[in-house]
Amino acid sequence: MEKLLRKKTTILFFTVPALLFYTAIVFVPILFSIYYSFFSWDAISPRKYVGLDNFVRMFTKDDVFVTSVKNMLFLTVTSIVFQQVLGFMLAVFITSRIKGKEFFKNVYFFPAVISSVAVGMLWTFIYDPGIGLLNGFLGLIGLGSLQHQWLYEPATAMWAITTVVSWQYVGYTMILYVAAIQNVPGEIFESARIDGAVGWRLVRTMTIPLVRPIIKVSTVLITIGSLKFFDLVFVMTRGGPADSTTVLALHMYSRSFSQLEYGYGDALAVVLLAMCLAATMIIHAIFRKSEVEY
Amino acid sequence: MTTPQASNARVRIGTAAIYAILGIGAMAYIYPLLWLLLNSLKETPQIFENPWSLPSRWMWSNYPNAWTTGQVSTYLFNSVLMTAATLTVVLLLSAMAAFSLTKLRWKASKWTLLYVLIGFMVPVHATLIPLFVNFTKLHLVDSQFGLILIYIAFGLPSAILVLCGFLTAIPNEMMEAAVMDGCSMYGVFWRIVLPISSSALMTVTILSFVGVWNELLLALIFLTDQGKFTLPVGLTRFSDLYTTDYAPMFAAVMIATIPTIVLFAVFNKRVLAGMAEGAIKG
Repeated sequence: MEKLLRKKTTILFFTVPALLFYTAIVFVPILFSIYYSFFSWDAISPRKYVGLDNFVRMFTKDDVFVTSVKNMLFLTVTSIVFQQVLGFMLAVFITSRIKGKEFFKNVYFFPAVISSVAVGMLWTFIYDPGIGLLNGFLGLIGLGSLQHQWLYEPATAMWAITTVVSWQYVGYTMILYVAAIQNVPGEIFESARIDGAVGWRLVRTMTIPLVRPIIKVSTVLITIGSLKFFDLVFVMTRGGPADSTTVLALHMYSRSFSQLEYGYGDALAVVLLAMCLAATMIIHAIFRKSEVEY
Repeated sequence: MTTPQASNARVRIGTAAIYAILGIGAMAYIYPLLWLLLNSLKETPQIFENPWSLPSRWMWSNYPNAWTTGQVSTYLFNSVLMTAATLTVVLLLSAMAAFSLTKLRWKASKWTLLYVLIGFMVPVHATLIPLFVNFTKLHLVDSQFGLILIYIAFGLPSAILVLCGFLTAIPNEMMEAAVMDGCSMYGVFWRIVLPISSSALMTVTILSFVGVWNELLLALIFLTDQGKFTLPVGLTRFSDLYTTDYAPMFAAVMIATIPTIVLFAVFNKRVLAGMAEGAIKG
């Protein structure tokens, strides 16, 4: 048995195909991206080493980059707040003693599996000044003064977009909390109830500490998702009006594949990569620091 | 102290409030879809006149219009093809790798798993330009085959992770018994490991399906011929084609959404469990 498990050819046969794919298409290109980010390189002129110029240019001369980072942070913070608060609240409600749990769970969750392109188009229709559901609704209830050209005004566009993100993914966050709450043995909640903990107190003293690992997982998921954010902005605004809703991934995409500035595009990609890794590590560190034993 | 009656009343009010909140929330999900459906069956001028009403003439023809003129049928076919091909290879290769990483004995297996995990944290953007440049040289740009290769590579890390988590928890006795009966390692993999992993493979299928079926960025970059577009890319081109002719666009969004909704309706328990598990394991 032992000999069979250590046989080299068997090990190679099972491992190599996956590793080959992964190494050639994921790992090696990352190294090349980092390497290329130190070059000035576009589709016309040859590659030229420029050191850190791309990065310096990004932070000093590229206003769109600065806007995109701001928007990314805006999306991250609003998504964390909306999705964590609403997702947790919905999970507590759904796991309480009500009928129709499955129905509500499915209704809230299904947008998370639908393509962001379809969701983005649906919401573009909803926000549309001419045919849109939202302005129509505001007019109907006598709040016509609040009507906006939601996606075409810089002041409202990012809020309009982040609302859609949360609409689409709050159910996902909710599902994670529901799974965690249902994993807690029922007796724990029962004994807490007998001790007199009900309502908000039960949630605060029992539920929140018990779902703590999920707070971390969902914070990481939401943060990484926000940093990589692309689809909805591409579909709904293409970064407009006047770049006010651009995000780093979209900026990187248009620099690289519309303007064909490969070197600069790669520098933007490297910044995005660094942000994702840093965010993951920071969140893990924050939660490790305050880890409590039960 | 509250009397039992008072606390009963409070619980009832609380429950009513919960139903009210959940109900209003549910409307925010159901109504937009209903609105989309109704408008997909109108004539465009009527959408402008009154986006709230029922269709005055039921324009079922919006659907064939989007399906053929709008090429949704082509996009749908391409999406099915790409997803099916990617899923098949990802399932097979990730199961093989996970088997090797958890059950076979070799020194570097821990490091290899860690190496694969890097891919789980890396955004696809960090690979785009080198991939695009090299794929252009290899004539793999604007090729469905080329894009499938990329989808496979990016699908592997999370799949391997989920399957490794599952397989480590499986005891080795069944494998050992099979080997005693003269089964080779390849036989063990086909006849024992794959069948017992079916629930984990289902999770991987769901995660990969959602990932590939909805993927936009890579498809946008690596496909240029409209005949090769997947649904997400195809839909983004719809607004260029129809500009203000909204009705077929509503119909196209409906058509693109229906397969996912149907699959979700059929497998919803598994999908919910799979998505939660995938996230938590990761």
